[in-house]
Amino acid sequence: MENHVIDLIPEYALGCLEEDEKAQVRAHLTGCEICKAELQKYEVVIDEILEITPLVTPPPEIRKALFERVHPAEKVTKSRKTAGRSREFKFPGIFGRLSPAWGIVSLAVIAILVVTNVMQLWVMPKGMPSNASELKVVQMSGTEFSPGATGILVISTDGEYGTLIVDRLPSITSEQQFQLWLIQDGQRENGGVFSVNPEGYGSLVVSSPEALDHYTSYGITIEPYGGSPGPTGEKVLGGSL
Amino acid sequence: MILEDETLIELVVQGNQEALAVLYDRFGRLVYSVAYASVGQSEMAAEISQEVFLGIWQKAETFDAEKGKVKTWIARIARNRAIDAVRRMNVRPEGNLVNVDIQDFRIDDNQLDNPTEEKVEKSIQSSNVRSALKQLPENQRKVLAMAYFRGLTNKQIADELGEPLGTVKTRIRLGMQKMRLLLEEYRIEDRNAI
Repeated sequence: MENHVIDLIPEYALGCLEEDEKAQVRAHLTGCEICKAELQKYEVVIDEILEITPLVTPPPEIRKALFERVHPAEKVTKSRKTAGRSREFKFPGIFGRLSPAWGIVSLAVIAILVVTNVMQLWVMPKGMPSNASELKVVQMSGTEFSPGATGILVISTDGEYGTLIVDRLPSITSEQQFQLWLIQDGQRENGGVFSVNPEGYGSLVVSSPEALDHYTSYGITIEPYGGSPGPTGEKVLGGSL
Repeated sequence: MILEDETLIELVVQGNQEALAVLYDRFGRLVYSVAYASVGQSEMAAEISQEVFLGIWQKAETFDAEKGKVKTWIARIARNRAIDAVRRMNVRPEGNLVNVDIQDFRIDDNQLDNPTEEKVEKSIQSSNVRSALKQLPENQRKVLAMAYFRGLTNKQIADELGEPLGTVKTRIRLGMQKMRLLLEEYRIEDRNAI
């Protein structure tokens, strides 16, 4: 089969391919229903092996610790942020039908704010007070892995907050997310994780322990769902302040 | 009244903590066990378990009923996180499962408060998986276990066993293909037996 990755599918399902082969399969799967169907059959094998995992009783403290970390307020915030997500992740019910509308409205508001603030920077005459020049905008460009991807990071006056907007990011699986990295002196700190809609469009409100404009560059990689302590996957966007 | 797993997920999407608690009571042991099977350390397995359920709390809306059951979805998240933990920490698990042949695994049929029909179906399914694994040559079973539980890549397995990379790739491929064919055959047999 020309250009198909059928031979690599069993290893891909098992997760034992090297990064370059994994990326090759992942890229191919975005447009090949034949290989996707093949993958689903091998994922069933993996799932069935999971069923025979010997069961070990967990310590009771796990449950207590878990619910000390669960915050209803965070849940409300997160559900608004994930509005406008991919149809691939849509969940049935009225909640699923309302979310995309909220997502589109909130993203439109963010886009308008970004555009008006950026225009204010461009049109500000010389000698004007600098109170309008505080927002910083980092243009992010695609990589060899995702040449069509694009994004901007808008950083607030005091550098404490930022808003990331991305477009045309590559398709990823439900076990993956994109992760923003804040880079200074070769050190990378987590800026947050996010997902995108089918067109690769998404946003993230960013905060960090240090002012965002203290970092010199920013990158986005593909990571396991929930994020990683450090970058492990393909880089899809990068930019410098 | 026992709520269906998908109903619980929908309640979690709406911010219902009690629903998350029920999901934990239902699948917490499986998640911990899957994590422990890879990392071999109780503390790390506990942390992974928390991260899995926190992830479910934050992103329950990512569950897609068309792609499979809730239990499968949760177990897959647990395995992926455990493999990531093993790779990131460069852990050499000391747990008692690491050097045990995959075919020796047993299933505890009393672990969940499930209806009898589901227990029977699960028992048949686990029996099919064990039968299929037993039919693999030992060298194929071994490399599958190394990849499955320790998250090793083909190259890492080849280096550890001192075998050519091509040999390892072939064994994994053939092992997975055989598992798939055998399990598909068993499913057909089970359907015809009903």
